[in-house]
Amino acid sequence: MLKRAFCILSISKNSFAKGSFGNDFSIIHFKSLSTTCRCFQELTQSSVDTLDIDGSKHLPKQRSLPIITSRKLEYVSQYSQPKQAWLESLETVDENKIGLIDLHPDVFGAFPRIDLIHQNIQWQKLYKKISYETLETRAEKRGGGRKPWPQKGMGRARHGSIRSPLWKGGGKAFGPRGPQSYFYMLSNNLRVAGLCSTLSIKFAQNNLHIVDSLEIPSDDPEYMEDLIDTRFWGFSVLFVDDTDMMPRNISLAVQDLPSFNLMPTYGLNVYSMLKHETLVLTLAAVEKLEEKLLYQLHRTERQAKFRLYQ
Amino acid sequence: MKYVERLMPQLTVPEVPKHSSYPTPSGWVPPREEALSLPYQVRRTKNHMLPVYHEQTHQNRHCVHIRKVEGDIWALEAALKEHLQQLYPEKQLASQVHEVARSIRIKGHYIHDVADFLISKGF
Repeated sequence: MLKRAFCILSISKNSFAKGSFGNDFSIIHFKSLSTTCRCFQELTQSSVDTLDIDGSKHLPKQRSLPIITSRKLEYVSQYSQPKQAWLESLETVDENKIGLIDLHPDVFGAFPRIDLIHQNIQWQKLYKKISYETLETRAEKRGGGRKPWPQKGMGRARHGSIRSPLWKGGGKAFGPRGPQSYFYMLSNNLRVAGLCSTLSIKFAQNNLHIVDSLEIPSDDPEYMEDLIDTRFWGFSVLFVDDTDMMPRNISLAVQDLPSFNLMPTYGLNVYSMLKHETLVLTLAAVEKLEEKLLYQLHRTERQAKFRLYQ
Repeated sequence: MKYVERLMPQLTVPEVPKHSSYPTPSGWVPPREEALSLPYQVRRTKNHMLPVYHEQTHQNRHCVHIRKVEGDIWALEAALKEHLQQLYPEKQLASQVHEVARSIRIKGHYIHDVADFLISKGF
């Protein structure tokens, strides 16, 4: 028997509210399921295996209504409500929704700061840049040690060397000098705000999809293309998972398709999110991102004066 | 163990403990629920303080900077100016609304009046 864990209701006083009015504010919430992808698969996979008569493991059973769950969100302000998103699956080409989950408003519903996004992109482009341009000065140019003609009496302009900046073929006075780095670090808060703004923009523009895991039934690139065409997920898709060890099938399917890319959470950045039209996060990736970004938004500043880049 | 734990550094800012009466001895007042009904909101900082700052340039240019404004920012600016004009009728008030950064700057040394106004609204 499949446990219908989502039907249990419980009254809780302190689940979402933060602040002093927690005692007066009681809300009813669904008992939260464990939200790792494996747990969802355990819930649904048992029903899949029992129907596996003709050996086609690619067709999951007709699911019942999507599971509506609540996740435990921390640091939720009294002024904002959690955002909600569909939990989808990549097991079929057609769209199938497994459930509906809550997203943190400070991470996925932040105010879109376009100026901070621009700063983040500029930083990402520039901090790696090393300019190798060099131009020789008059001292480095070959020749030019002798005075070309006497100071007076020639009727010509007075010169000291044939390699001065005035001369054709002469050195450059204040030109680019050798390898120059454009390295700088954007402060922590700006980078965090850039990530939160970009995630919020992706969510608001319906370009964010949350998936239980990146497991797909076949390693055929056509499967991936069909899936993305059917769901209108855009020209380019960025799949983000919790770890950097990706499942075999999706790695093979996507490796020759340049506009679909796989990425772990530690590689998530503003430039990549904007470069790809659609962002697909696994549930584990959402949990990890929220945990990290919320920690940055709420951490103590004890070591601020000892940090190199603040 | 609790004597050891309270000496260890905390990574995130904890929630404010419940007090028997407000304001606390340091003057801290918690945000109230009635503030949710207004068209604008001013969110507290991660250290549970009001996001109102005094900025001074040169010896005599004072500004009040209000950050983290949500909702109708122009309505908050109008309400603030009206309140300050009542307190100081002979003064001219200049203000700047930064819609992208969600902040308001008011020229003048009115930080305490602005803070009292926001606390009276329940933020």
